Amino acid sequence: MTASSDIAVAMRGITKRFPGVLALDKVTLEVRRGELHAICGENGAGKSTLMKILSGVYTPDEGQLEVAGHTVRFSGTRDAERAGIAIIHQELALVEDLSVAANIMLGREPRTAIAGCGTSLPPQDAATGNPENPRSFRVLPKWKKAMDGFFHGQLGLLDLAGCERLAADLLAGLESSIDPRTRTGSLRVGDQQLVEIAKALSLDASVIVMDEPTSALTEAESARLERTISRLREQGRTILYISHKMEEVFRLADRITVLRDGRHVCSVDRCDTTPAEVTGWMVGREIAGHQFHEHRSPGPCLLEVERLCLPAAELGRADRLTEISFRVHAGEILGIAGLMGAGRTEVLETIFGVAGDDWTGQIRLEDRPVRFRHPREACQAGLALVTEDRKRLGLFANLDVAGNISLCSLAKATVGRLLSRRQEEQLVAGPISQTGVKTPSPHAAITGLSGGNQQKCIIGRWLLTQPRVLLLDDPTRGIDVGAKAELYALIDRLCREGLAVILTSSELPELLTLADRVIVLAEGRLTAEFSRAEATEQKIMAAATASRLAGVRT
Amino acid sequence: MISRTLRWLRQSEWSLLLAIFAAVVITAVIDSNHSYYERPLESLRDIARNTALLGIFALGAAVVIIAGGIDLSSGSMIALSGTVCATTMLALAPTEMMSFKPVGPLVVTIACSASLLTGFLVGTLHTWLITVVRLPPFIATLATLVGLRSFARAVCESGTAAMTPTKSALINVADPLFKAVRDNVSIPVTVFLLLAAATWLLLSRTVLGRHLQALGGNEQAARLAGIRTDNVKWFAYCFGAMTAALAGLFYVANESVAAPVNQGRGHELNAIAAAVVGGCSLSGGVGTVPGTVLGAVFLRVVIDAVSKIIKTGADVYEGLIVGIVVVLAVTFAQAGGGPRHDRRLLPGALGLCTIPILALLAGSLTAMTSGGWAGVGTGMTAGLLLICLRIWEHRSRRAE
Repeated sequence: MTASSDIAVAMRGITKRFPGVLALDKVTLEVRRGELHAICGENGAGKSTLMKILSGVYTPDEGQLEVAGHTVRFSGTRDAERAGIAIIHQELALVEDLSVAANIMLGREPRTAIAGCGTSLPPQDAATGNPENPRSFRVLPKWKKAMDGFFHGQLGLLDLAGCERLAADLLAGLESSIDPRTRTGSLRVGDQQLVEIAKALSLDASVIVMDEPTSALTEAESARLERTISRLREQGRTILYISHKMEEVFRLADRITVLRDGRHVCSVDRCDTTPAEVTGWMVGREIAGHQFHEHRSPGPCLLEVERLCLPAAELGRADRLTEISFRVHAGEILGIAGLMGAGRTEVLETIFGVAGDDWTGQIRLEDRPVRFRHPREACQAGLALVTEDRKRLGLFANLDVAGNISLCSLAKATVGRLLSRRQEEQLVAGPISQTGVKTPSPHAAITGLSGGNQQKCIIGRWLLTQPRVLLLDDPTRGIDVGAKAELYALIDRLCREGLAVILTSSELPELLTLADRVIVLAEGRLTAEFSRAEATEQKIMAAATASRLAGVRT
Repeated sequence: MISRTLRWLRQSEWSLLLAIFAAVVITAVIDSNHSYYERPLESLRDIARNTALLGIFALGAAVVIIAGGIDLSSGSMIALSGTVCATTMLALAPTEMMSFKPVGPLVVTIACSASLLTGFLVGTLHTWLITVVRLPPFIATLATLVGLRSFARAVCESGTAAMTPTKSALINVADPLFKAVRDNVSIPVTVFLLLAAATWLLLSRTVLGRHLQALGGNEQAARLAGIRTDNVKWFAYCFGAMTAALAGLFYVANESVAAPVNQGRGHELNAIAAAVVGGCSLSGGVGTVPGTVLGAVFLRVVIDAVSKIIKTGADVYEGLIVGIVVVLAVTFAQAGGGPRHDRRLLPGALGLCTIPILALLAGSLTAMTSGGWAGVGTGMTAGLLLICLRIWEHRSRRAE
């Protein structure tokens, strides 16, 4: 039993209902001051919902929140921020068109006071931190507060220099050299995440929630994040860390809480458990690690790419792809490794005709040169592309499950020239059972499905077009462990049925599990090719960072 | 059986139907002339004609909105369509037109086809501006909203200058075919219902319809799924412009004149309002034909109700009514989506400032329609009620 003063945050009996779903069912969670508390669970287990309640995005239907021993009620993120709780969302919540500095100080911009009263800045000790007393805001009568604000900057001008100085300090503390004046949208995802972290630090938060921070990061960026985390812990901050990656959780966490189907399964010390046990709690069963690539017998060469070059979208930038050549056989999985921005997505998009017509080189499909100008042509030629960003590029939230699956093969669902509901149901029944989509009905809303099931729907959509070459762009991003294993098995089965598969992934173990061969890209160039037997994580990382060693600080 | 019938319309559409019924009943009771009792056919004819005219291009607006775009130009398209029709007739049969004689069915057919063709051309122009020049739909159709009306007037004036003794901004249309359309309300209503049925079939039962929804739901994903999004857009904007062109012909018939300066002015917003009231989402991908039809009926019924009750010209208050109806309908639709118990109508300083605005609005409206003292009374009552609401909201929040 720990003394109550050691508890930084307690959530007791939290229940949250959404229309038709019980997202959280009497979940209780105690987080000790200064610990790194990992929260594990499959997608849909309620992790993000729980964290959104903690950070004031949602209000719970039942249960109570305690921060530093006091019961609190948040009616918005501002309340949570004032109580010293900051969240770094899984989906980054930055304004892309504003500068980095503006994003970090958004809503709390320092102002120069009128009539030369000096500069009023928000808590300056953000970088050093003052976790002992996170809620040290003064309690003033309302009118006094208003007057105070009026004379100390409410009407003052934006203190741009102060803004940039504060942002630069915070970023320097995170060993980053991002210029605070850069437009946020032009940063890579890893850097954008750092900006989010800097924003959380600027709040002087004593409790920081990180919702799957490494899901979009490369290994080097993850390592930098881990160093940041240990620095935050030295300052005594409490961190709530959501992740699917067991290895990461076991390296970082002091304690681990497992959620399953909106219920609290257990909270344990890291030393008292094992990754296999935690994974078992998460899915309610044990998952064996599989190697899928054994005993495949690749057939003839299906797709051949030769000296593919893609010029930059804007003038004055480096080419997006330079002289890339590779081939894929039927019944084989080719993995493409590379850091974020190395050109993995561009390769797939160019093959699929998304990038338009300004590429050079040759692409041959079954020995015939092809040049697709629109995804439709690629689709008709027997190619399929499962896109990287499911929500933005794959899913139709306004269509139901059946509509999402049948979209590319609607001609098969018609009677005469009209769509038939029954025909469509029969059409999608195939891919639903083939890919193992768990849905109450083909006419359920796609948004009600978990990430893994949504991804299966999109793969099912493309299987209906009976492709010969399947391009998968980071298909398991943001998908939980159980669904990942199912997707691996599915991809393996498709490959054994004779499809040629090209798979990119931001997780190396995934490529090593699935691929027969791995090619590595760095800055739009092909730097290495490994057969499965040769490939190791170290070799791939070395090739992926080959030409940019100067740029990556380790 | 009952459940099948119920499923045919969505819940929001049933409430819209109920609202239409309520508006009719209230008007029938309050109207001191009792026109709904005494001249039911005449009243029905009025509403039916107005609904059909609005509904025809509201369907076009709905299709564009469902495809994720917006067409602000339909009012000007109505004017241009009428002008093109009348000018073509003037060019082909100048003497008959000037002496108000029949011009013959062939000329009328050619003129009407020319109008519809103009609709197709304008829709194509929109698509080009949006997909090739890459203007946002709002900007592209804002430009044609302003430009087409001016162009219509220029066509009208130079057409009349060339073919008649005097330059004019109006062309009278007296052909018996147009008169027949004006006097026989079943023609526009039939056209409207046929068009609604065809649009319903298009959106719910064809591949193109599904592609329209996909385009509106997620344009990038639609392209990556192999849909030729530019072609789908082309269809949507042409459909929008051609329905407006068709409505333009009916306006010419109805008023026996093509008047590019005023015909259809501001109607684009009524069409968008009908679509939105009927449940179309301006972010695209969501909306139905039955909803849009009911939205158009609802707008016209409410406008008619106010004209019956107030007696002064309905056109004065038409815009105001449409505005209020849109706000109320969309507010209720949102409330139906997910009721939030902590929602407050008059929070903070914004709420305080809103109280006198709403009171002033209620007061001045009453003052204009039923005299000064009634206005003062209504304004003060509304203000007091709103202050009570504000206090109640404040209290109940604090109680939590």
